[in-house]
Amino acid sequence: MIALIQKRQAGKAPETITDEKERGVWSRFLNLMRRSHFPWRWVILAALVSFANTLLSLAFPDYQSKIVDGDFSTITITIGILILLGQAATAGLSDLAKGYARRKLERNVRQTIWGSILRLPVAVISKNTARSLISRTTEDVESASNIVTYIITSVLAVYSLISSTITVSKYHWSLAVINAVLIPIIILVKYFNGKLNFKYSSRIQYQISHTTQQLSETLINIPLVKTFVAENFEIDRGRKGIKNIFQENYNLQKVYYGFNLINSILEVLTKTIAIVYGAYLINTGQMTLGTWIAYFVYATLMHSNASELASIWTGVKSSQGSVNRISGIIENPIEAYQGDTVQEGSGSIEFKHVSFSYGDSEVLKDVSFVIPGGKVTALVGPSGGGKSTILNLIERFYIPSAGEIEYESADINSLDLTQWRNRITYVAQDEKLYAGTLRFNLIQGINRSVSDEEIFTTLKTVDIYDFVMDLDEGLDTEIGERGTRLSGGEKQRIALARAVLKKSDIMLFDEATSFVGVESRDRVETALDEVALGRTCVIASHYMPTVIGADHIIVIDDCRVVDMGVHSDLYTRCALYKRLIDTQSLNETEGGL
Amino acid sequence: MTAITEDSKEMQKKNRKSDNAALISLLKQVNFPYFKYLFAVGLSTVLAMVLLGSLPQMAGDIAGGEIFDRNKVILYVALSIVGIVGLFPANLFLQYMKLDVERRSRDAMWSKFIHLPLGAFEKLQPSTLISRVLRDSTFASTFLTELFNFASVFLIMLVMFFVSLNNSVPLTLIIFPAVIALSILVVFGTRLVYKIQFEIQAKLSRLTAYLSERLSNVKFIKAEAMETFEDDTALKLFNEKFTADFNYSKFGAGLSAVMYTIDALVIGLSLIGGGVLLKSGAMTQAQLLSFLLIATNFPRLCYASLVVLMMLWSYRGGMKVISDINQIPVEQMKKNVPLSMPTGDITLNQVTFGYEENKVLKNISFTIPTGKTTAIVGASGSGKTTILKLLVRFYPLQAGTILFGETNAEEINLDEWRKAFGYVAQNSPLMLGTIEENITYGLDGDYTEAQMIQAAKTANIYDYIASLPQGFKTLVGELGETISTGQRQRIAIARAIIRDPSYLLLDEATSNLDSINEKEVSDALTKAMQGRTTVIVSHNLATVVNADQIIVLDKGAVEEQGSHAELVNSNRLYEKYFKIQFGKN
Repeated sequence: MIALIQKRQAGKAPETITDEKERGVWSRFLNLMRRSHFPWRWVILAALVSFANTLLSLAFPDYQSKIVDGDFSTITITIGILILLGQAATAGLSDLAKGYARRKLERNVRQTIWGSILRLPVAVISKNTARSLISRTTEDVESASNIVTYIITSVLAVYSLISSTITVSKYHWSLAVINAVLIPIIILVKYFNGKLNFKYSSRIQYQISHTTQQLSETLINIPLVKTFVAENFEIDRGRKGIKNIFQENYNLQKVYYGFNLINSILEVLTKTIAIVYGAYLINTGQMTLGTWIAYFVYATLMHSNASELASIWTGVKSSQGSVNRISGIIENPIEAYQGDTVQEGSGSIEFKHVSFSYGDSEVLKDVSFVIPGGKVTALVGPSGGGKSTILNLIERFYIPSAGEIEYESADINSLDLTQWRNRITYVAQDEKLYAGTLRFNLIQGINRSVSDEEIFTTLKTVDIYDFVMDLDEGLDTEIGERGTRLSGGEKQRIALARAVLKKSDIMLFDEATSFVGVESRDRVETALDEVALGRTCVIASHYMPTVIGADHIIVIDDCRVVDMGVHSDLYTRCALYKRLIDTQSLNETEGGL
Repeated sequence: MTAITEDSKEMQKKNRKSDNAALISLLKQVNFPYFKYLFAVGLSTVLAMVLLGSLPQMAGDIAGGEIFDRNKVILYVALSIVGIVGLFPANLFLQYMKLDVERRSRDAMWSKFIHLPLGAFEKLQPSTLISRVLRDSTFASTFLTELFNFASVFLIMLVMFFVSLNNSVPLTLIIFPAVIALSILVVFGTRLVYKIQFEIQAKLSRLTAYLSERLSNVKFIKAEAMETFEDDTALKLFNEKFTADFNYSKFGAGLSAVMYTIDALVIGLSLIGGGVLLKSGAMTQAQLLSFLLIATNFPRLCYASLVVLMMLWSYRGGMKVISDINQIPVEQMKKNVPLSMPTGDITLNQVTFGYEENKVLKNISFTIPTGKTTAIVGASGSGKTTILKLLVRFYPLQAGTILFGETNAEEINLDEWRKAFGYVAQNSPLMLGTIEENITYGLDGDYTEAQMIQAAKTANIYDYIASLPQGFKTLVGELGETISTGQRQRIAIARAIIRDPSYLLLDEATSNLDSINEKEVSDALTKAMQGRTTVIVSHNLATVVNADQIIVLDKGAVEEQGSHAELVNSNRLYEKYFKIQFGKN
């Protein structure tokens, strides 16, 4: 006990911080419920049925005592049996209603969270790992929704404790005194028990997930382990993790059995008092055997109610953590979807003194240029120079930290977001696909019906028709999660086909042909040139033939526009551009021709 | 017909026998402490018998009128305390042994996995590997501990039964069998729960797969303004999960109703029957009390013991998987011949190999001369990477030999062999941890800082590392997207050359890079190759024109070989590749 108190004091400083966080947690919880269609009717029903169950369990000992004391009248026995059956029925029904309410709530909260995540700015989403966002939408939802059940259970447990204490006080005043002493002790012990269990269980969880991550990484990289003959190193490392899991598990067992000891002593104490003191009361004629049995049942009930009440603490604690984590996501402001109607026009886009930075590192510094409408513009420059960022800013994945991007003399960030994005097709380098058929993937995001003939023509355009036709099920072939059954080049060509089918006014390509093999790259590039005809097209590429053929070339390095113009001018005028073209040719020809 | 059934029975028997043998050999591997365990289980069983059997009996006697027998009351209290306090060390010791055996099982499985040949990994599902190590490996020992557990609970129940019999024969004979029968029903019902839980798991993994796929495509969703569409798609999955979860609630509700009914049965029957017996004088108050105290505990134990029995049954499948894995032979590091010569020509002699039925390499022969550079070119799928994998002896050959000088490579100690090779694979992965840990991976701390810096310099990555605030101590994970593919590859090159290997195997090391990055990596490779026997695989002809020897592969066979000058006008495959790539210039 002393050790416990010391531990508590030692941990005081961090606790005040959590208290601070806890203060807002209920309002966060209410806010979450408000946004998620709280299933009132079902929660109320569940509470009422649970209450009926509690009433019945409190009523039974009375009849029990009557029967034991020799009252075998039909009424008493019938009521007694009815109460027992009623308890069974209400227990089942209340579980059912609680289950329905809880699951319904979970589903609704899930919708709220997922809806928010989908509409958050890309910058906010990419600050979180996919894994954490998934666990917000799955585990945390379940843990947060539990709070409703906890509230019902704890209110009923308190009611039951008070009510049974009042009842036993009618049998003999001293029994109420015993209750009043025992209840707080049980609650206190259970409280510490729950708290320590929580602490040690989370340490195990941490250790397991840490070790799992480490071992999985080793297993994934097993060829590396073998090449570097690091078998013994990895075995030792794995054993350390496994030993830590053992240690933490054993620590929890110590806590568990330690408290088990205290709890059992308390339980035996309760029972011994009930038995010994009860026997004394019976034998001195102050109580009948029947009343004593009723008291004994109440005493057992009290013990379980008090334990339940205290153990809810642990549950509420972890639910609160979940609520906080969920709120941390959904309380972020979503993207600005409302805005002005997008005007028709030449389709040219103008960057005016645009700056942008990811966190601390500046990516674009005061950049100005015009992307002419209906033409092909190429962005060139070394990796990390800011080419992708320009495309991301046009797509409004990010908002410039200074300056404006104009379309038909309107700031694009003031336009209706959905309309704006519907006008654009964006193909990224690592475009991942969805589990599903090829056809399903090809028509994603296309708001019109597409005939098979049109799909086939498009597949020929991007030089993947033969590949698709060679598959056993053609367009209906399942391509696996994230399209893993396709190679990088095949995935890129499917993504390109999708873009071609979409036929948008503005097309953005970010290294969109990089994985397409040498055999078909030229053909694909030529096909894209045809598709681009008459559309505003922006291409970030390392592939020099594409760059050379563009109507307009913008050279970007180190966050700035270095130069712009057409190939022939730039090649004579711009040193960096010349170097980019020459290194590629050099790489391709050195030692040879 | 009969013959067939008898046959399959025979087979089943045989299978069961080999399963049992596997189980016993697994337990032998982890040194299960039978005697200590038996002792601790025995102790805790006896104590539990006292607490659940004798004490209620005494309590009944006390309440029945022996309250003024001071000795009896003292004995009761003393026994309670001894029982409870004694259970604490007994149970803790049991837990310690159980966890310790679990730990050893995991250790054994882990070291088994690390030593498995690469071919064995490809037959196992990658996502299940980790649970094989951490969870399934413990099944054999858990099976045994649960068996002890069942025996213990069974004995306790037996004692409770006899004590109750002593109190009232008719009540015991009616109530105990009824409880057992109902519990068996419940337990059979719980088999349903596996189906429901399986369904929930299936829906959850569908949901998780959906979420992670959409999250990795979030830019596409936004770019195509499909947020509302995805709301609806998600709702369908959320509803599926809801239905599965609610089915579980339904089951739980049914279960709790039945459990309450069992309790009601016990209490109702003992009260009514007990009342009648009391009145007729066939039972005393003390006996009724003792009976009630024991009987109310009985359903819980009965149910628990049946659940244990069911769990024992369910472990069989898991143990089968583990014993199967246990039977796969591991890689042997020590062979007959040490790698004595510092270097030597390596000759592939009619090598044939395939991962499954398809042959990836068909009857390949060529020599990798010492101190020279050999380049392998060919279309994707022609078997280039497989040659490198065979050179580091990841897989056994299906036909032919690899000779080291005059010695068959398979005779040479595997660890020494692999240490002589530096292998930079396609997309060489970096591990979690610092840059230093990555570069010096597998050296077990046996390196100097100067060596590390030298390796980084040779790989053209030293300046980059030095520019980081934490230098070599920078955590790779923290670099996130700020570290480029080229930089990652150069770290992998540094990792390969820090051991100063005599042979260097390079695979597609410059694909997917922009031209400036590509040049830096190429320069690093050129430096690394100096003074080493190198085999380089590439799509990019520009990086292979300088090689001393070029092997052109087509569909798993050597199409032609020679130097660039010899091949470029050969009118064959090499010339064709060359023209595709440089046609425009």
